[in-house]
Amino acid sequence: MKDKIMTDSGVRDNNSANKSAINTLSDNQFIQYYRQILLPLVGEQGQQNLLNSHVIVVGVGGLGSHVTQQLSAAGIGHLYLIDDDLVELSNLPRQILFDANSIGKHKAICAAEKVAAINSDTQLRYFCEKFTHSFAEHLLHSNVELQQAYQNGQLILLDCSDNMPTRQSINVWCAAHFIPLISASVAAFSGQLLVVDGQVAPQRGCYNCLFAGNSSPQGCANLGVLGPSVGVMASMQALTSIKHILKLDTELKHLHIFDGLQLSWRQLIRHRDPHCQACGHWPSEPQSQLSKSQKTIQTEVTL
Amino acid sequence: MITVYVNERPLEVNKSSNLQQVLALSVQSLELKLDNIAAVHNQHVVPRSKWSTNLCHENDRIEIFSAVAGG
Repeated sequence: MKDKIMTDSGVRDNNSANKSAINTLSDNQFIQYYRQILLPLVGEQGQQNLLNSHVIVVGVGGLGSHVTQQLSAAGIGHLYLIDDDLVELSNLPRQILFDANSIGKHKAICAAEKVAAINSDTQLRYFCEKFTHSFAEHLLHSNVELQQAYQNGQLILLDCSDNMPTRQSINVWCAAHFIPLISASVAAFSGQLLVVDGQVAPQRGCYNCLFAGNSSPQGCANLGVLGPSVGVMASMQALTSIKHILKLDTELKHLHIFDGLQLSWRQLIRHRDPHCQACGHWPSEPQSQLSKSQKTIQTEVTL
Repeated sequence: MITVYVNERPLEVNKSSNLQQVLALSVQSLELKLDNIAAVHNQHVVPRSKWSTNLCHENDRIEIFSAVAGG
């Protein structure tokens, strides 16, 4: 595994001298992020938190193309892009990081190259790998910075994948480690968005509490999709991610459903399944802080 | 008998029906499989393990929908 990761992974970093924890903003950074800092709920401390945060993005297709650009532009300090797919011609209408020259190349590499040009404050690591439990474990335990961010509560994961087995696998891994999961999906004219956080909102359950592991929903390849619908969901996912990093979540109880034909949103109230195999080890009530031993629970659940 | 509304359409069911029974009656006409759906009862998503203990009442709103997996 290690050799493969070393072969098909890399770092895009235009500003490697300045990637230690950021405790103060430079003059340039203050100017660059001024419109964000201006928001009382963000401020300088909030911007520092964004610059110190680590975000894993699984899937750099439609959703991933949009969210990586938005998060980098906002000053997220560390992005980890995971995708084993190659760019195809049929991807171009919605996967806006790519162009005709990208066809046949790895999405993770192309995305890292394009996003690196957006903001030198973002360190990009890319992995041309399929998300699996073993890969995720290797990633978490082989990267000291990532592990530190995890222990400090500065790590979140965005599910931008395109199939149910990967979505379930991501959910199980995040639930096992109490890593906040921001899940978005889109197909035809429908989109779904939710935040799963076993520390802050365990009573709302996880992705598997909503959708059974053996369900087989169709995706964009079967149902079709319009690029702007993907952009709407990706923007909501990016906004939700930033809010979560800044601890601005007003509530995490809803499943948000978007109807692209009616241009409407609905909120449904989620509840934890007491028999869920993925989040059964979670506490029943929100926790202000989990101990290191609680966070390092490692379980592999087959749903 | 009571009337419940499944995806906005009225459905007559026995007074003591639970959500599992209503869903089983409804999925065929919607061309869905029980494995592939999530169920909402009066705005609350009901976990699968509670379908059989969730009792339905007159004018309850039930919604059936599927996961969207595309990205």
